[in-house]
Amino acid sequence: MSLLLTLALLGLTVGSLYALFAVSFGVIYNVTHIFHLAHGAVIGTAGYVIFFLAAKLGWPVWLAILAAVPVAAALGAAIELAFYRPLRRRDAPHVAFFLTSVGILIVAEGLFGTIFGPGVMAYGFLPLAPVPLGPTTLPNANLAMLAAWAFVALAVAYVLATRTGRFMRAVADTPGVAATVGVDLDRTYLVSFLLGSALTVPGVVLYAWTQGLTPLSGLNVLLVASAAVVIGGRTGLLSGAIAALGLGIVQAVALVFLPSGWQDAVVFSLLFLVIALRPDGVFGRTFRW
Amino acid sequence: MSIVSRSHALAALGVFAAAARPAFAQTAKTYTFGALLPLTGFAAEIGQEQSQGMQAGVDAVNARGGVAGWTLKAIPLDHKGTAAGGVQAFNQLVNLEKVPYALMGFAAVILATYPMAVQNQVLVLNIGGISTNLLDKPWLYNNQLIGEPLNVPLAQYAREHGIRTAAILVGEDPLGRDNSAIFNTAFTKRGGTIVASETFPIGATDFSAQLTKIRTANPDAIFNIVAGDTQGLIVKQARAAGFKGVFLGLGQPNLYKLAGEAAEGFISAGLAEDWGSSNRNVRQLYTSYKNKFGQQPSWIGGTVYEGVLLLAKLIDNVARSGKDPRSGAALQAALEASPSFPNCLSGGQVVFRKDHGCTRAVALSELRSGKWVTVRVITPSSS
Repeated sequence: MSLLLTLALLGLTVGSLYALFAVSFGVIYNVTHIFHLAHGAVIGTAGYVIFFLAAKLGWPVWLAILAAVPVAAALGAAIELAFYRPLRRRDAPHVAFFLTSVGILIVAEGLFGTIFGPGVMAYGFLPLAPVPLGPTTLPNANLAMLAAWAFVALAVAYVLATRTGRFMRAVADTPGVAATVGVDLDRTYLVSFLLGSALTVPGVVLYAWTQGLTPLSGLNVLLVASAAVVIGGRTGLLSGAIAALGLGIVQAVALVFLPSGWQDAVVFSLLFLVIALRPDGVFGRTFRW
Repeated sequence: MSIVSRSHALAALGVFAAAARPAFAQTAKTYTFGALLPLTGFAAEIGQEQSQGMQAGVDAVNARGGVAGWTLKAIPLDHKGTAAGGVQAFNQLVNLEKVPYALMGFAAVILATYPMAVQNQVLVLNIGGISTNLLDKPWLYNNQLIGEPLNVPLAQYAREHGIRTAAILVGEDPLGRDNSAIFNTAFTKRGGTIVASETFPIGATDFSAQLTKIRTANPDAIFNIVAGDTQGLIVKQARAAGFKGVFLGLGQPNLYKLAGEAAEGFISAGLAEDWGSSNRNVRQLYTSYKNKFGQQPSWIGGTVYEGVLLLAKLIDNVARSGKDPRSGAALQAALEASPSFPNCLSGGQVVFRKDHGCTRAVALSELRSGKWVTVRVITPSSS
């Protein structure tokens, strides 16, 4: 298999993981319009909870992962209730939400470092192994990343097919109108945080399986995920997911044409281009959720 | 309440009096020096070991009553493994603490802070950074082997053991750039071929794309030199990408903990250590470190320990000449006058060269069953 195809395949797997994180970020950002960088704190918390339960307490991995879901969801909801909702009540400007979010993330990173140490925590309980695929080989964790699409599909289905999902779409479009027709904004925002935060759990498992966890892991993941949401456009979860998949592939394939150090620069160059040329995202209104 | 307070106060005074009397008799002054260490970030494990080596050194000097009437006090600050972190921390050392002597590792950090060291006449001892750019700098001395002494024996050993092709995977910093260039030259000069060369940004944790590219080139070995936990991640991800060859480089403390069996067979070049030696200086470091921290020292903490003992020697020499040892220039002159100190890792002496590099023994080690096993030692006289 040519190098280009192998890298494209690798990019497809990594892009799938980015897609899941983009959806988990997008479900909050699209509905609440808060650039929720503290989502990185939720991602980190989920990852460290799994690490602590599985590696330190010896819980079965599946149980540790399941236990992290309510923890992540509760943390996301707590951030909404304790920080964002009071700001909304006071009609605070967007920058206040953003700075609060940054503050929460910084405090969380400090706490992770203090409790678990600043180094890499490897998910040794999930063995990383090569899987031969004809002429090439991919790590088992990368193949597992394709499962991210199942969670993306579940999230999209929830938003499309349920009553709460309809409310979420309505609030995302025009919160004022949604409120006048009886949609409970507070409840809708809360559900967005619960759903987006719960979705971090499968994502962080797939991420830490290959890369381990550091206090900065949440932020690292979030930078690409949020860029994907902006590049894809805020009108639907699928826009961000597809943009994230594209970023994963472009990042990997770029290695054939550019020096390795340009991988991250590729992502943010694309982001700048899109903001300059298509501020509503590359997909515009193609994907309506 | 008042009775309790008064009794506490009296007890405290008693303790103070008991502790203070001998101390005043021997050392009435405190000599402050600085250390920039990676206490947080991707290389925090290294910083912890360096910090322990520094503490062991300070304790060793102060336990014998200090030096020339001074008690040593270290001020360790965090450079986070980054040049920017180093500049911020060094600013504090020179502007607030006004130290005349500083220990630091990490080539990028040293190079970024060096202009400030020159400006403020701070004598800097490199305790781990590896880059040829660290040589020939008047205020900087290197207690670390730099360039050819590490990479040439590694390339030689690899060729002797049937490694014909190698790929390079290093970070985008002076450590990676300089050492990979020297290894490349040494390896190809001995008939080997470099089949791929990739880099990554410092702090990266995903190397899958670079490793996929390297795997396509099918090398016998991957040369990887990088500080901190990054190395363990690279080794683990390389095996998962299907790489079955050998790793060559500078083995990091957390390598086996992070990569486990994937790291088996890693061949590392580094400063020679001989903890079974009967040499007095080696025994002193080994015993004090093990007693205090419950673990065997390594070169990572050992070079810092040596750096503290070197400072004590310089203070003593400057004080004997009637000058103020709190002057960086006086320390530098003393070092130029006597450019050697005891090698506490394997015995003998470490001697500074004219380019401010040093000569000391090199060891090649292989990771076998989770333990580093020395496979070759190159002493300065045999090289």
